[in-house]
Amino acid sequence: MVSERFKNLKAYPVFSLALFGSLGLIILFLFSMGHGAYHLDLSRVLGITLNKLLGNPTFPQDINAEVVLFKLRLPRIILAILVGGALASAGAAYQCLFRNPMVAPDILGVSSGAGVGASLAIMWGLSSIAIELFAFAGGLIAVLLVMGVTRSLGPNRSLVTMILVGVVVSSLFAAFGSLIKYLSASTDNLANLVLWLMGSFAHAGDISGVGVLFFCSVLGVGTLVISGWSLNTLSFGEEEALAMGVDVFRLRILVIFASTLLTASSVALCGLIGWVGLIVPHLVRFLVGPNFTVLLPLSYLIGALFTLCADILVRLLLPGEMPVGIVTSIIGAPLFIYILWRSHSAWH
Amino acid sequence: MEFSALNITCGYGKKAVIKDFSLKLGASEVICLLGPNGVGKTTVFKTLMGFLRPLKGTVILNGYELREIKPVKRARLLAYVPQRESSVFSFTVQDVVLMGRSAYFGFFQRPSKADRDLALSVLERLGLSGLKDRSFSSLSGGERQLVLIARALCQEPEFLLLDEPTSSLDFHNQLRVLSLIKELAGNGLGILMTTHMPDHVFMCGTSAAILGKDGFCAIGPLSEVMTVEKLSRAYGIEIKIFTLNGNGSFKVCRAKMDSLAYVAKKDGLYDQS
Repeated sequence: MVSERFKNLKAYPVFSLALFGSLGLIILFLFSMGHGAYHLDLSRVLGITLNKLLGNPTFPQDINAEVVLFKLRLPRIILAILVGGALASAGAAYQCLFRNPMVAPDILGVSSGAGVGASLAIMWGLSSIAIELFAFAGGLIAVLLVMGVTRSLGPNRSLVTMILVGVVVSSLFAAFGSLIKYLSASTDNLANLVLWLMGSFAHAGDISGVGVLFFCSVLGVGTLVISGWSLNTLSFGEEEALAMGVDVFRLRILVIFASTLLTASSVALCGLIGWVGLIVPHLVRFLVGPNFTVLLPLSYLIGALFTLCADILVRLLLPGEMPVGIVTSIIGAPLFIYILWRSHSAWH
Repeated sequence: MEFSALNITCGYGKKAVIKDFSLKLGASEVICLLGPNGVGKTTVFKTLMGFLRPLKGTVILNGYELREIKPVKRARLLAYVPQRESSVFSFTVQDVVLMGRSAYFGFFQRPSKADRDLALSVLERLGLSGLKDRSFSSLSGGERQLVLIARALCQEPEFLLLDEPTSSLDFHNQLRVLSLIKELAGNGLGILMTTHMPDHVFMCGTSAAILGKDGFCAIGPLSEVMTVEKLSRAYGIEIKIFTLNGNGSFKVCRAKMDSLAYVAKKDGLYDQS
């Protein structure tokens, strides 16, 4: 009986993934709200939240719990969700745009480019908006560099070429990043810079940063959603997409803008959080197929789930603040190998 | 409706591959483009599709210069069936065919119910309904070719350009594609296709264009172009044309194994043999 129902769910992979993904996200959200150094039961979390929302004066006030929930945990959880969703969506879009299932924000060097931009702004002590802009510029330079070099190598290159170019550009920017760290060694900023680059959701207290990321996410994901169907045609190559009536030039600009914005705004706030942009779209495509109009929202959902999960692990495993980037890499690498096993040589 | 190329010179960068090529394609016509490997058929094709700019001359589609027509408008007049081994991502056949509607539902929109119905009806017309939920990459070469033709037909074009539609197909599927091409032309579509098989030109062509090395070019009705002299000249071998009589008559091209040596001898490459 149960297995039959499970089979039915298997026949509707999009629905099942959306359902279980949303349920998982809600459960993890509530768990994450309650768990931490200051433990709160689920009933208290719900009680305080309802009290806050409805403004029920008869419910006893609990200032400490309120501060922990709404000033510390909620922004952090929102940040984890926004960053995971943004990175996974950007990964899905890059993979579609470059017709290459192996590219991702980190593999293309966009993350390290954005990291260098943001590091410069942090070193110079600029405002958070400036950090965003520098990160965006850095990411854009990296992706354009990768595209330009790959293109200059000739039209009929294998999928591996772009990845190799990405690795080169990525390590080049990593070197610039180290240079910036070296230059700021004499200042107080170094420790901040190093911790931030390892990737962390711990700075969520700066609520305006979360707001900026939210705005960038709406802009970026919105752009990707509306150009979704056209992006599908690109998987047959630029010429065929053009022959089918798609304005390929405009599409490329929009998608590069949106994905780079999503990556850069995440990096600017949380540093380098690897693997999300590669494995999440892979996993989702493996389950529901390559149609971008379905792939994008589900990648966002599963990406959010993935980083929220990683953040919970960070807080469960070690006392203090282990950078979440370490956890995503430790989960990500073996998970990716598993996906490669399951999908064999066929790219989904 | 007319699709024409006027004295175009095509090539990459500044290097001209084909010079002064002209062609005129009208409704219900099937022009077959023949020529040996590396002579520039694909370059001509890409120029006619607007992927490459002609170095000289113009391509004209229904009275407008091709590159002045927006992609969306062009796709409703001119469709392209590429040679394709596979795709990176495995879309379902239904989705692949639906992509042919992109020119109709617009950049920011999604296919409507009407678009989906049209895609399904095109699949049905080509006898491919059974494949609609299969993944495109899992299809055989023949099925893939037919699905790509279905995708092009979803664009409801006036002209169809096919790049070697029969090249990797078995005997049965070659015939299936050729008879479909003939049928589509019968319904008013103007068709240009490249092929390596002169026999196929006799089977479905109304005119032919032969490109040879050193700038040789012949275009016109089959009776003028598909001659022993011109084919032999273009391919550099001695070709013979036979008329087979049976249930109706049709022409085939043949060349003997020793015709290679024959031409080489004429060129003075093998003096001693």
